[in-house]
Amino acid sequence: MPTRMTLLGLFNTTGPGHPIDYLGPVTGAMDSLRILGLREQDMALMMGVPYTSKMLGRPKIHERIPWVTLIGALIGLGTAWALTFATQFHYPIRVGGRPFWGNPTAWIPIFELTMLGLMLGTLFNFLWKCAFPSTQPQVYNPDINHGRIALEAKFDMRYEDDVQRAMLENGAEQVYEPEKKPL
Amino acid sequence: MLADAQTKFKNLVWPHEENPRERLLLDPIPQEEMNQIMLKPMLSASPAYWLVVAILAAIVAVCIFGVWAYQIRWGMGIDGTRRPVGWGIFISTFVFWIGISHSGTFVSAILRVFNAEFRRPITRAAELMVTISLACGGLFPVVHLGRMWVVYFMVPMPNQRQLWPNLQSALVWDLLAITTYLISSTIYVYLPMIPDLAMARDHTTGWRHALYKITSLGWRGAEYEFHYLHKALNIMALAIIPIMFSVHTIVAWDFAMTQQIGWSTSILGPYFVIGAIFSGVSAVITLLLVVRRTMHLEYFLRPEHFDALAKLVLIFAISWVYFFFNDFFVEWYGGEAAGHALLSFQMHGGLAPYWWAMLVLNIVIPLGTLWSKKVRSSPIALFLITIGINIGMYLERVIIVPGFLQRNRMPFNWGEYTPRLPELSIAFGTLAFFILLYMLASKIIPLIPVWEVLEGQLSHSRRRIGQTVVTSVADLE
Repeated sequence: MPTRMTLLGLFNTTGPGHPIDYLGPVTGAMDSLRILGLREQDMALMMGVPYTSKMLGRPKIHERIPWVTLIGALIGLGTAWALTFATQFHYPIRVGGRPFWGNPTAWIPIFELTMLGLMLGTLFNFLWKCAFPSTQPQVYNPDINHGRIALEAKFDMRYEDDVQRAMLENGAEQVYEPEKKPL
Repeated sequence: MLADAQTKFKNLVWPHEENPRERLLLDPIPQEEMNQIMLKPMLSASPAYWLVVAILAAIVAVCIFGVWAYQIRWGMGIDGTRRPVGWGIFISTFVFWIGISHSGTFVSAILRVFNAEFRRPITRAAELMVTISLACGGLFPVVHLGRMWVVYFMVPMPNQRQLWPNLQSALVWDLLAITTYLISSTIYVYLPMIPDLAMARDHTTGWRHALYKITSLGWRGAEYEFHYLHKALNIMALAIIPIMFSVHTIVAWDFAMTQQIGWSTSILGPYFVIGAIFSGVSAVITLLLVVRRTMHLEYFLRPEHFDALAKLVLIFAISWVYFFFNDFFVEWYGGEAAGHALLSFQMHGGLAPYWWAMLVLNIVIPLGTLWSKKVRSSPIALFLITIGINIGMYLERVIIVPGFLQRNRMPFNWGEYTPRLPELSIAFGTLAFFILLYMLASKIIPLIPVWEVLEGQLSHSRRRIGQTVVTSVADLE
């Protein structure tokens, strides 16, 4: 029998004099949930506007080094080295007056392919971190495109009423148990 | 009398406060309203739109693919390229399109790195130009090749002769640089589009919904998704700038690495890069004016954006003059006979009409007009000036490529070049191809990054300091 459950609260980000930045209700709800004992990882937000962690009063997501980006750049570098030096060894092209392995001329393919590897690595790093492409059913509410922010809270079932009350008291327009659906 | 004096005094002491709603980032509207402004022109198309698409498609079919097939059937002899002019309109047009492709990267990446806030609504439209103009430019080396079925000889893989491309050749560097730039710019235009594709997914049905569902990759607008998106964009913005510089420098090296008079100069790389950004940013203005008018995006694309872009054009016009004068003056002062013959050919000979037209369009008109805010505020004036700049830049490429090749260090080997109809047809066809691809893309891709505009609006506010109200920008990070 599952002991944990999820509730999704929808908060309006449009308030008097605040066409898009009325975050008081949702940040208040998160504070109330923290008081109830929910940890940061028990709460997730979905939004159509990229509010920052500071605006939302959430801890900043830390990522020290984008490893996949670096690996991509290194693969590009290695490929370029192989192309410029190893292929010359494999199939020598001797041009009069030019060195067999010319470093300055090698820098250009090395630069281009390293940068290409870096760009592809950055793309893959992003896809990996966000677990994209995702075809699995997910918790979602398209109203985030209509000036709403969705607060997803995961908690012990015993606190259902408390969590629901905390969200509603802070101004949630709607609180419900979400169903995972294909997007 | 007194009233006049009071008004003047009032204006002196309390300067007019700008209407905040004139500026996009100070004029927020509800998110859904903004989404609808973007989605409405995407989801509907008038009969006139489809008529233009059909005409452009017909031009592309005949002028590019029909003529290209004819050229493949009868060989490169139907073109005007003859010894000593081996590179003609095809290569000039190739350089032109690669130059146009510098628009998006400059407008998007460099302005992103420097936090230039006016960039927000214009980045996507400019980035899309990069990918489409690279596709147009990329056609030309293949068309110019003649036997285009052996194009794979340029790819670094062992072919049937076990022969590898010479990676010490500027032409192979060109292939690598353009491929890198095409892939990088496609990624760079795609990543920031994901939140907008997800927004479109939530507003559409049928085939569009299926398309946006796939392309938005399962985006939900989670905090961490935005975080990693920003992180990726910051890395890419920094990485794509040197790639952009390298591409046109290497294109310039295709020429500069030879012994041809006029080409063999170390200034050609930066001269090409500045010229590319000059023509690219001008093309962004032309295109945005058309997009604003036809897609009714007046809310997003405002006079402030055109004013800022026109100032950039003015700066690049000055920079271009600087490089042009360096190139010209050193050749003129140097006194080499072949160099003087080439200069004379440009100023008084067969190239003179193009050369003088280039100077008028690239120097006289932009420098003489764009300093004026009145001109920078006039869509018609900006449209004409930027079209003129791109005609001037195209003439520059024609002068540099087939123009210079007509004069060299061996007078017995001088020759004349007149482009023939197939060359002109394919070159013109790519203009139609560019417009066609852009028009089709504008119905599928949200041309305005709505989430970036919203983000910009979050960070801008107004506060009173003394007797006036000023705009303040908050640090988003």
